[in-house]
Amino acid sequence: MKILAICGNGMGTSLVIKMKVKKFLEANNINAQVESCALSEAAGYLAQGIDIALCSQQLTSGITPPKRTHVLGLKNLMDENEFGPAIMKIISENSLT
Amino acid sequence: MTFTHHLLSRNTIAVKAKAADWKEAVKIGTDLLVKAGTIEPRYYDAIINQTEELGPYYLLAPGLAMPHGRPEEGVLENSFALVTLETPVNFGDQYNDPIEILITLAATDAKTQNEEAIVQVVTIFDDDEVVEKLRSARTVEEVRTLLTTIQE
Repeated sequence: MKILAICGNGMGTSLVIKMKVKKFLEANNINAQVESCALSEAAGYLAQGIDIALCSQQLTSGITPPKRTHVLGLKNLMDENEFGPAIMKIISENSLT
Repeated sequence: MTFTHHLLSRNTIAVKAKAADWKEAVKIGTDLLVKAGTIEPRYYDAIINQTEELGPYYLLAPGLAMPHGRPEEGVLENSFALVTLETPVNFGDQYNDPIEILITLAATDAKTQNEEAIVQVVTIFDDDEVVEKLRSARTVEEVRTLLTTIQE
């Protein structure tokens, strides 16, 4: 499974999301590749096949995901009680591995 | 270098600062970095322009913002500033407003150089007790003491 964290310029916010998500996945024994990038680079990453893309809710409208990709817009980027259940739901509904 | 080390060595900390709006709040942090010689003044304009274009996507959690631009927008050295506000300001995000703590981030490199420091930012701001102490600190000295404790 491939997960991508996207932010305005790929420098800080997406790294925060990436670290929080990685920690959450490890704690739940879920194996995934997590990367981060800027909004301007997102199309290139998405073309490589991303299962779940995460970003601040402000940025979701700027993302045009391929069919395969589920986009999650987050309010609180540091709260695993927000993104955790949302990720788990996508994983189970789509039988992602 | 870690986040706390950056702040302590350059003393880029402002406590209970006064800002009338989000732009002034961002400027307190970038002014500290300009004074420290780690960014050019145009970095501030870059942050403001991008915020107006994309929205404040760098609000990490309720009360907490991490404004930043790109390396080529005037970053001279990797650095951070930490600002707490006397009166919180709104960035236009109903879920995370009002913002009371700002971490201004300036990085010369998109990923690797920065990761260690960002790991520490996440660790610090995941700890409610530390955040509460930061919020209630009245002086730069109190914040320095807190950061020194974290660093050790």
